[in-house]
Amino acid sequence: MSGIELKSINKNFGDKTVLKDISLNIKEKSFTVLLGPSGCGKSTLLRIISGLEHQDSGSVFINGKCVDNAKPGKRKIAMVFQNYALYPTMSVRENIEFGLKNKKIPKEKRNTLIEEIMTTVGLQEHQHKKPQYLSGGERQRVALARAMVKEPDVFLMDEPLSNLDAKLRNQMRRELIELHKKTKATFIYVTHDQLEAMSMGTDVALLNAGTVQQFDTPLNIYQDPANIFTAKFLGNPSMNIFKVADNFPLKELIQEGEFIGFRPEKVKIIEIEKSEKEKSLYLNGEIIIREMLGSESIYDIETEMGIIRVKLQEENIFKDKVKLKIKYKNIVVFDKEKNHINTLDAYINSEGKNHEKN
Amino acid sequence: MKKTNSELKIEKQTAAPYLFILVPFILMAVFYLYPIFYMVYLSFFKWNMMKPKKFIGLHNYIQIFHDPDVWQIGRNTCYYMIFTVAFSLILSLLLALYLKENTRTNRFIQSCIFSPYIIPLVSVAFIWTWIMDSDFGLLNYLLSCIGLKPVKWLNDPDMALTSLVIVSVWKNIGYNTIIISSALAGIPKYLYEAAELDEANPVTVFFKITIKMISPTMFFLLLVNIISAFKAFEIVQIMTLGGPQNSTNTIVYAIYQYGFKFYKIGFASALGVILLIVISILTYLYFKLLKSNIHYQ
Repeated sequence: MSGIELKSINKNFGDKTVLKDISLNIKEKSFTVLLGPSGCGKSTLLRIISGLEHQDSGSVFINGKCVDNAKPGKRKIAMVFQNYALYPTMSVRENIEFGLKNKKIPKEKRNTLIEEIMTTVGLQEHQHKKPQYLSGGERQRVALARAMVKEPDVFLMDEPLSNLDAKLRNQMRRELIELHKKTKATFIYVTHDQLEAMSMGTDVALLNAGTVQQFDTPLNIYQDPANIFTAKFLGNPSMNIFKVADNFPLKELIQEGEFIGFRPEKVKIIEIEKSEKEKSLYLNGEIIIREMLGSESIYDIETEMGIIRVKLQEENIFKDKVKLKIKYKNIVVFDKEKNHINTLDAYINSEGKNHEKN
Repeated sequence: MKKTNSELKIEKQTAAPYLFILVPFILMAVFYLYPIFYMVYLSFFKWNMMKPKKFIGLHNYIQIFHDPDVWQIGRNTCYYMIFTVAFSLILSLLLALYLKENTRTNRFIQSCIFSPYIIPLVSVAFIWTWIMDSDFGLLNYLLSCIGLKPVKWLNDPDMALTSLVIVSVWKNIGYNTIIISSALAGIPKYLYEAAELDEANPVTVFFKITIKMISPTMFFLLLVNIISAFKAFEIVQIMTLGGPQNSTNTIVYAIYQYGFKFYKIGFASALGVILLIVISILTYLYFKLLKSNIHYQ
């Protein structure tokens, strides 16, 4: 099989467990994002794939071959570092050429390869400059060019956009997507930025505390979170989560100790309750904080359940007392271990069936 | 015309910095500039500090170029300088590379190597005079223990200058090692990782990354070591007095000898001027090369 396969990878630094039994199947030609908060082990996992770090147990397969004993240079990978790791003593051209020279590629072929890559990333006029005289974006391009010129099977990127300013980051995001389409290589991309993960990734592996929380397409993770951590990690503002307790509006439907959650953008503000076919949760609330962002606005609304964050597109609410409506199919139920069970409407149906059986 | 308040203020502000540097500037002028110009002036005279000075033009310089003793002094100085600098830099680099890993033993070794640097050169010279004594010295005792013939070290005209080189290298190595070690520690780890991904072999990594990254430091040490080797004085004065047979007489010691032992002040000044020119050229070359060739982040 092709792609990259990780088989129960474990890694400890001293007493600290960084990665716990990680198994992943990264598809060939995918743009897989390793996403997670800082310290979750995503960079370590990337470095294990690159061979710069060694796992304590488990195996890494690249294109079906076990590479546990292969040196980083022999794994047909290229890496883009967070700080680019350009050689400061070499010019742009020498930086790109260094890997080719070490591979003993003849000079003529080297020159054509470099010319090609220089045109692709638009660096011809800078080729004799040292990295210190380049801007952040240009350095980023050099780092990409240095990786691309090796024509690797796998690109590994460790937060490559985090040192750029916001505008340049947006531009580079699009360029990376294009690059991925053009090269047809497998990309593994580490980031803590959910926006980067959602916009670029074809697959996202969400990590926390050294374990994979969920591995799926970004949209599936967003719509169908496996547990409360993934539900809260993706989305801005994050999902509203409440523990079902006494005097809770839905307590007759859901068992005590379980959780419900719903996205801020799924809450509707309505004028009057209408009876509809689709079941919904209705709440009365009072707006306590307003954040008007132009195209959208975010409200903190106090209700009998607690404070709910609501995101509305375009419409602005100026009165304080409001009525809220959340459809049952947009409410997610989590069990006592914080793992996903189902949406509320499906949950009620299956519970109902259980009742019927009983 | 009356000046406004703000004009006065500006005037005060511009004057203040010059006032501050005036004191060090006067000290510099008295102890550096005046002696240098006076030395150049004296080099055109014949003077033994008793009789009045007699102007003789370039005669002192002509004499220098025709004096075989001076040529030997020049050769001695170059020999001493080249070997001291080469060995202390190469050995320091190797030691620093060996000590790169920051373990407890390495830290201990490093402080051991550094300790000669904090001992005054005078004491070092005395200790090594005993160690290198041809009859009762420790070094010859050790040589005899492993069955080698004793060496006459400081008493042998062919060996004396080399002995001085050995002592200087021993003394300099600690300082150089510390400086190179810190330069090595300053090379970011990710450069080595990038090189690993680029399939660079250890030799390439050493020359293309390690050496290039520490080149400013090596250049700095090169200049400092060369200048201090040119200025060698105490070690000659204490260990050999320039002998045997003038074989360890170096330029600064010779200037001292001609001036204050033979009272040929004009001749000594002319030698001093030559030393000044040589060191100026070296410094100029250093900065010139530094600009063009050497990596500074």
